[in-house]
Amino acid sequence: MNNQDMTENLSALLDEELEYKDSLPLWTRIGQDRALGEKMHRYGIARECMHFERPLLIDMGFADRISQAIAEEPTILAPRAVRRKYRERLATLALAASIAVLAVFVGRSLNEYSPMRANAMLARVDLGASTVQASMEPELRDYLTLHNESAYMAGAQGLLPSIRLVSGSASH
Amino acid sequence: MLKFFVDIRGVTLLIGACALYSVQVGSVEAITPPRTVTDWLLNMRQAASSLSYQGIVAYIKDQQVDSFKLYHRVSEGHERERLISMNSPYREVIRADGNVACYSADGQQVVVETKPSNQALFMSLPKDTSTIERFYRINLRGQEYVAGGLTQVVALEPRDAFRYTRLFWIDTSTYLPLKLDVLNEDGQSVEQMVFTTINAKEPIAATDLEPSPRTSTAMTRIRHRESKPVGKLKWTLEDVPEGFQIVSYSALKRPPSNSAIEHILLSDGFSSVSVYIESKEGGINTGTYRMGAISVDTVVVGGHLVTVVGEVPMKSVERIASGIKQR
Repeated sequence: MNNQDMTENLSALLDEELEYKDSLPLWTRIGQDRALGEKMHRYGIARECMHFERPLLIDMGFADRISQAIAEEPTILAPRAVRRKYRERLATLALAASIAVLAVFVGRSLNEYSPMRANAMLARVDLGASTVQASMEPELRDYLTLHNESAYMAGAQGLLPSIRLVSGSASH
Repeated sequence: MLKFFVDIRGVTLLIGACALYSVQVGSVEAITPPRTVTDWLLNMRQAASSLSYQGIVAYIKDQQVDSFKLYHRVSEGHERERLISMNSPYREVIRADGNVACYSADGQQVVVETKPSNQALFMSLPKDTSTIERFYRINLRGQEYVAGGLTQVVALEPRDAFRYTRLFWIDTSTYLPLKLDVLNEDGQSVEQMVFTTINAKEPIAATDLEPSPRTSTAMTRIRHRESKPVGKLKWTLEDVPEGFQIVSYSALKRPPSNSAIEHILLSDGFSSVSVYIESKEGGINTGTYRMGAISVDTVVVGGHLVTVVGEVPMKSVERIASGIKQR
């Protein structure tokens, strides 16, 4: 597999368009090739930014540094069963991963709710709904718009149909 | 395709004629103080359509917050409303005399929905409170301050699983709804609207209800809707939740291909559901979607794509969709 194919497969993998049989060798390669792993990380962040339409403050080396710190920390060794060692190592890795994930989420939350960004937060806070919207077919969006345009005829709707139109949740 | 596009000034004239009136009518004094719990809802409906007011509205849906500027003006019996997004992407909606114009400066496009000419086809909405109470329990839930005004909280709880719960915070002096919360079957908020500021005292200038100059270069697409008698329906709706009735039946064309779409609008007086039927070439995938309070189900019936859209729980649109049959 050449670099061009690899890049295309990475992109397809992130878009969940890569077939299962093709994804397995790619994951193996990512596990062996650090540069490829970093490339996938970058693509993932670019994809997230496009979906969320706002910058994300993500420290790309954070998870690696946590893992490295845990790996370098002196360990008190005592005789124990081999199987248990595996279990502990798995638990340590899971802990490292969860700390990294938690850190990213906390980082994002603090970023969004910081007083420095109060105006922006009031203006628009996107936390995932746009993913559904982005994947919605134009014909379906058209129906949502039509429904909101005509819903005022159907009773005690108040402002909501107009608000849905302006909010872009169902607009052209 | 070009015939659907006219200059924006034409549309301004089309939907803007009623803004020339200068005398504003409608007053709180004309609204009778509520004696029963349902009077609160009826007063709210009357106030929202008969009073002039302006304010800032926050809208929360799917963990997303947007804010809008609202102008609502009633002049010599003509109601006109303008809602403008305060953040990108820039959009505004102007509703006047049954026409709805959606301006999108970013998309350089305006869509105007014309109202059906035959008003007689519309079901009269439930002014009789017993109709509402057949499908909803209505109760008062204390008083709270919203946007500086004292409000009465009124809860509209469905008696079955085919509708959402709605909570209204109704201003005790103007009867305007200052806050609305739509709760799903699990009691979680799926859509919320709240005024952060509101002014129902100052007169609103006619110019505040005109489209923004930034939309002046946009092109306009007019979508014509043709009303049809319900008796002409070639479809039967065999499994509609009790209380929903056909409000209108119309035909429209989807630009640019002008593909024909049939539209059946259902309502129980508070929740509305649209059924769209088009030939299968329309190309929409079948399945369900949910966005905020809106549920969507698309199915194939007799070589046609049937899409049911409404601010009701998913089970309602699925039930309606599964019960649609060709005559």
